[in-house]
Amino acid sequence: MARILVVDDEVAIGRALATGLRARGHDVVVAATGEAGLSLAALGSPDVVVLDLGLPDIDGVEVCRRLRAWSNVPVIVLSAHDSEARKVQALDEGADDFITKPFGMAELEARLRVALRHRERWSPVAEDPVIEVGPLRVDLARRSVHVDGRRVQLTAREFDFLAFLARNAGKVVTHRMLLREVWGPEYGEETHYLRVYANHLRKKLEDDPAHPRLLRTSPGVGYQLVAPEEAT
Amino acid sequence: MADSYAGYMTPLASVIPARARFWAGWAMAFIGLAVATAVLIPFRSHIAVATSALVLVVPVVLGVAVGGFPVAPVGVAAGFLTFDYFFIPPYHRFQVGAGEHWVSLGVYAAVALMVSAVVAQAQRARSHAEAREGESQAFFDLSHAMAAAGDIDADLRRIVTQARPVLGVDTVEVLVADGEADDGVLVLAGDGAPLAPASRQQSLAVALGLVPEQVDGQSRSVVIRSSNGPIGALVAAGGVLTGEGERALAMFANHTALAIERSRLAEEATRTRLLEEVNRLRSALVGSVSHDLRTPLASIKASVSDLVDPTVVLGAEDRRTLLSTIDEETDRLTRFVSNLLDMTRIEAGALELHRAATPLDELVGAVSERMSRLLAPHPVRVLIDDELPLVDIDYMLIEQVLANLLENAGRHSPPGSIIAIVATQLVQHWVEMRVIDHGPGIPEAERARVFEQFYRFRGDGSRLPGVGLGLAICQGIMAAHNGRIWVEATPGGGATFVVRLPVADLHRKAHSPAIPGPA
Repeated sequence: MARILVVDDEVAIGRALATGLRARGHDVVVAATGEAGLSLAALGSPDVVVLDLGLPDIDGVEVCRRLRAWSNVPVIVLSAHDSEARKVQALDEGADDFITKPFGMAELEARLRVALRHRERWSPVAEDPVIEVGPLRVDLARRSVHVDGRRVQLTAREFDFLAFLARNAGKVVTHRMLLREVWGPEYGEETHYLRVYANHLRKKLEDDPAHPRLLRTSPGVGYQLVAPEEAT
Repeated sequence: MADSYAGYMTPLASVIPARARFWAGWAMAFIGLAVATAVLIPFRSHIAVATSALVLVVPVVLGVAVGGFPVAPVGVAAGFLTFDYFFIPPYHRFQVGAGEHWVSLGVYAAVALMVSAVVAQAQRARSHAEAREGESQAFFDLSHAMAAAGDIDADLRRIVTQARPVLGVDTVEVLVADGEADDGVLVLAGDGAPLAPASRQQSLAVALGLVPEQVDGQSRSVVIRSSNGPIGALVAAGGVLTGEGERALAMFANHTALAIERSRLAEEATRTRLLEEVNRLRSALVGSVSHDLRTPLASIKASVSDLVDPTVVLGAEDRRTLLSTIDEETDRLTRFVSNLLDMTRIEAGALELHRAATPLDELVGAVSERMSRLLAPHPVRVLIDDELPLVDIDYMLIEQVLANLLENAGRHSPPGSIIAIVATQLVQHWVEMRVIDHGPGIPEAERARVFEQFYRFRGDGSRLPGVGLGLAICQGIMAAHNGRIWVEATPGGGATFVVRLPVADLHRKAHSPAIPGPA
């Protein structure tokens, strides 16, 4: 189904991930160092990269930064509890999502699906100023928003908030990125603004604002706009 | 340096009590008068009455200069009578012949009194200045010594030994209230004759304002006040304090407060540093434990979640891979938990050795068998001399040491490279066991540090995989055996860990009965 590059120096994890992902029909390559990961990413053009942050040679955040210099391949970061801060750094450097060890394979598979779906749906060079995420349709040129064909009125800042998430649909957008983009470069710590706007948007966009399916929260990290899973 | 100022620190005026000086002045006046009279009598008919008067002023003034103004009235009176009796005709009678001699007597009395007053004033000013200079010097020396020292006991001892002569009293003590001490008073420092417990309690209570001062003139105490409030008393007993002395006592009390405050700050700083160190270690421990527990857990969880997922179809080969991953990683977790427990016991000093004479080849065989899956990518060579004596070790603990060393070797050397376990007896009472790998090796500068706890975590956040508690525990276990562990470079590249184990006593006796082993 997809070509997946796993970068992790732990042999046992690499083996478990490779076995599980292959059993789910993916094509898996494992790299044990950051350097090997970067060259396999260039040579094998994977559809998604699963990247451990604690590598023996190059730091995972640095791998992310170098990868983003020439590639838009979705990156899912494997983090541990003791690397919370670096997980956010990795997202700021362009990683798309993260998953905390230990995790079940079903959870990893779900994240892989989100990353793959949004990779196919939108790319930053697209000419089309209209972004669709599930039932949501954001027209960047006309600054209009529809949910299931119904027009939704947003304030200017609510629209900017949503538009930024939509342009990065499927990616976990950190608090800092959102504040810088929507409020301005001098912002970065005022996460309470974000909570207020996220709540407003959910009331206007979600069927059940208490159980959001479109605008998800990554506690302590940021927000993620995803298309709700189609019933399969 | 303090010695060269000894003259300033103990000025004459301060050392000799006022009463003694008074008598000395008096004696000087009388003896002076007697001497002057004896010298002048042979010439009294040839010199003018006024000349004798002038000469007789001198002893009185000298007496005043030594004994202070209290000497003056008596001295002048004595001079007056001497002048009249010996030098005003008619001689040897308290009579005044001519009217002009009344004038001489009057002028003598007036001049002697006035000069005495002036001299006494000057004398007072001089001793005052000297005393102040002495005090200033004493305080300067104190501050200097305190700044250099930093030991509270020495500081306080220095204060009391300097204060006692400056104040001119028998005893100086630094007292603080302390419920645990006898009588509720703790003596931090003292110089001179120790005070009775009752007077200590009294002095402390007075200084702290708990009871009104009793004016017996024999004991003065002032409060020692730190930034947090009163903490004790500085007591001067066995002497009368002048105004100067009161002022000096207050200054010594300030110095005492400073010394105590300073030592408290230093103590707090030490405690803070200690806490920081404990916190640093604790967070390193949490980081290390978190990583070492999570890594195998992550592999196990990933493998198990596949095995239980009914939607995933696994082949027989896949199942075996996942199950053996779980098996190995469970062993790894077990090793880590044992390490953690051992570390705790080593740190608590509670590592109990169950020593027994053990054949090393059996131990090596058992461990390499148990770790065969982890070591599968490497050819493992074991070289143990058949004649090798038994070693006196705790089997379980040395097994742990070897397992840790083999795990490191396996993780850090490239697949296919040889790992060797070599044991030899190079010196009489020791067997050396070497675990030799051909990985990247350990730079010489880092070889001692790899045995530190949590060394794996480097400052920049990246890590050396797999070197956490393991080597620190190996070192702890080897220390408990009175053995040693160190690391060398493998010729041609790689790391060689060496453990030196004690040869079992029993075996030594069996082979060389002539040499009695230690009991």
